[in-house]
Amino acid sequence: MKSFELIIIGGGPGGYTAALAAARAGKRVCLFEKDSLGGTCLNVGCIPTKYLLDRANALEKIRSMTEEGVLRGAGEYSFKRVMRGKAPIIEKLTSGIASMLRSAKAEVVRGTASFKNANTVVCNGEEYSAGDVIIATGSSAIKLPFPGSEYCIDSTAALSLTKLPKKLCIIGGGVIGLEFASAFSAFGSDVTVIEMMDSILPREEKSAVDLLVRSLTAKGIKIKCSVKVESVEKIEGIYTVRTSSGNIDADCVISAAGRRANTEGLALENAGITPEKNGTVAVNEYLETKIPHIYAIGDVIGGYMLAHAAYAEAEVAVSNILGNKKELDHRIMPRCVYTIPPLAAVGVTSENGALGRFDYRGNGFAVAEGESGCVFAVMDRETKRTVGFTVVGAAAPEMIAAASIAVERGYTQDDWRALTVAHPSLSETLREAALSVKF
Amino acid sequence: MVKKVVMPAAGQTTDIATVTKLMVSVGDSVKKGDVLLEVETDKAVLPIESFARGFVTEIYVNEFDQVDAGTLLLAIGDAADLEAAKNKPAEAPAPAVEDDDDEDDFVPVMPKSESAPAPAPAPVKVSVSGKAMPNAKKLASELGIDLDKIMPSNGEFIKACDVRAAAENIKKPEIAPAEDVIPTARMRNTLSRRWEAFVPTFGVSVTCSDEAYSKLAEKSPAVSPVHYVMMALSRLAQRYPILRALNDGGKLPLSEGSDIGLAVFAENGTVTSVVESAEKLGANAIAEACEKNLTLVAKGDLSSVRPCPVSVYDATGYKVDSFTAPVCAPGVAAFGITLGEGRVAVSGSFDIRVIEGNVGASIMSDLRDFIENPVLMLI
Repeated sequence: MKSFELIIIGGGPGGYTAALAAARAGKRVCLFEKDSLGGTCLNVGCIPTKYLLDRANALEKIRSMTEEGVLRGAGEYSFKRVMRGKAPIIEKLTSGIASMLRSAKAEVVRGTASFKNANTVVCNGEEYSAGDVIIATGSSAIKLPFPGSEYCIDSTAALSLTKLPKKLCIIGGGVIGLEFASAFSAFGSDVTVIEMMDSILPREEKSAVDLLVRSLTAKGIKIKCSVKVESVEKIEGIYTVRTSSGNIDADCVISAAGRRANTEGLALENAGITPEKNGTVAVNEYLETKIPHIYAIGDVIGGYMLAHAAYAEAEVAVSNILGNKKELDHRIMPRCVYTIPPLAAVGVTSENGALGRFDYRGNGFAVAEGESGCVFAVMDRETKRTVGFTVVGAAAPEMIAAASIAVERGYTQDDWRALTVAHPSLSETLREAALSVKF
Repeated sequence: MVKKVVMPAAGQTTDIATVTKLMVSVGDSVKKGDVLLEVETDKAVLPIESFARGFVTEIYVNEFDQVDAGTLLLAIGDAADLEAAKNKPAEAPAPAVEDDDDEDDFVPVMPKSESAPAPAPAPVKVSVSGKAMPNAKKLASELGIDLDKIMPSNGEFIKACDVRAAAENIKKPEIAPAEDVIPTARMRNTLSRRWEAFVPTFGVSVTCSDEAYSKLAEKSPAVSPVHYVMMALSRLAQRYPILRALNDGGKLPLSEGSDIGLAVFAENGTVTSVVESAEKLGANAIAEACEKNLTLVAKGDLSSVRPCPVSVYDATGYKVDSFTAPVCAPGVAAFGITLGEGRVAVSGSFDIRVIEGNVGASIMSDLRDFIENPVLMLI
């Protein structure tokens, strides 16, 4: 039996961040990864999607410049070559993580780990024990229970398509579904998104979501809300998605209807932990499971299911393991949807405060770049402090970092007034939106 | 000494060309000016001429190769160079590049419907077989000369001087009837260009009693309701200087006289023929001036057509309630005139950038007063 101070199961954003933090603090760490380091985010999530969206954005820019007459012809592009280009990027990033873990002297074991008891896990037939354990096993795409769901591919398979679907149907209008819709629409697919709820991104600022929907619709993406999928049939190579409001024909159907915590094969029961009904592992504010020295972080605990949430949770869990008691604070959690244009938000929406808004049309930088969008600032009616921001438009995910600082520090309008923002920049719109809040 | 022939820059828009024809082989004797090969850009076929005398010692490209500006095409040397080249051991073939381009599904970036080029005016037929220098092709296209009908003076390819010579030799066509003097396309193009400058407008309409006009028409039957409104507008323009101004990108050059344009629905497009200083003319004189302009336009004489602050559109011949006239930049206002039972209706369109809403309303209100009570025009 090999003995360590900390065992981490899962080498995704939560797991490797925790491993690095603990190893750098002097802990003897062993990290188990059954697939490749970097988890969903790096291998089949955020990073490859962002790569595709970057290419998609470039195509959109070329189209608009061709329509402007700046370019005489838009030329041709190859979807296959675009898809081929993502492998080196993933390879570069995963090898980067491996080398960071090596230099931090954290041991990485490739294989599926499962609990033997609360302090011991088994992997590849060998036993490993540690005083503390972090479960960071992430999540996988949900398979919906309708007839013909086997014809649907998940986001991971969609990232491996080698042929551009002419007609693409995406089940699920969440972050993943919308990002894929944007990318494939820009690549030239005729995209339909089906959402069961009565609106997409229901928890985000309504006006911002409306604006996003208008932008996506203008690009030819069909978004159908309050529509339930009944079945998927395959007739002569064409898939027919039967829904509560008619049929949709497609040559590819992507299911992006949510994700479920990965706990299968972990043998949690051996550690004395029972997963919740939805599959997640319950934790307290210190990220401890009901067994005090076993922690859980990332998608496996549910909640935001974002890589940067996992990073934050990893820091908290490791801090607690190191004896510096720390509570999880997700009040300031930036949320980004990398559509074209993207939407990014932090804090609360205008349902919980006074709203100010500023349109990109009033911003020189946006006008010069030919970008449209809008910034929504929310301030508390009583404290008059910044409590939320939503940006829809180019560079929203970059701008939300500054907005997060303002929310974290609780900027008042005087604070915003005192802030000098570089000109020309899209970030000027944050200040303008904040100063336009009327109480 | 071996001289290398490289692909010249093909033009301002492209540096990529395809080798369409190799005119020489290794060992051929060439002199200055001989055509060595032809390359085709997206615009034209370019002959690549030899700038040296000697023998072709090596050829580095094949037909249908894509070449960039600067690509080495061939080498020319003297007899010794040729001998040396012949004796040079054959180079090992370059390893085959793994090229799976065939599998690549290159598709147009623009969607099909959008990528279709806008219908362009029919270009002058350019014969690919008849070789011509790009500037010769351009000139031929500009002069409307078919390259197929030109014989190259050097027996090889057509130069610009050949096109110019051909242009001089072409007999002038028989004098066309006056109506055909203005080529349709040119006039249409000019009009289209003018309409490209979108003028944001607002509209105000008035319906006036035609009593005063009817009385006038009894005495002067040549005066139409449109002439009558033009007279009223010319007087109104003296009261409202903005109706004598052109909107020249924010500047408002003002003319002293009230120039009123009348939209003439000509066959090749609507033009506005201008009655100058109409405020000095009576209704009869305005009617006369309009008639004269109309005759000229019909003959293709556009001397009376030019930008004008105010234009009037005659829709009195149609059973419509109102006609919203378009404002053509740099004009500032336009008026559409329609008739009904006992009434003359005028719809005014005003350039919102230079005419305020209240001013537009005031103009229309005063116009109605003038039309119904012409004596006010004298005050």
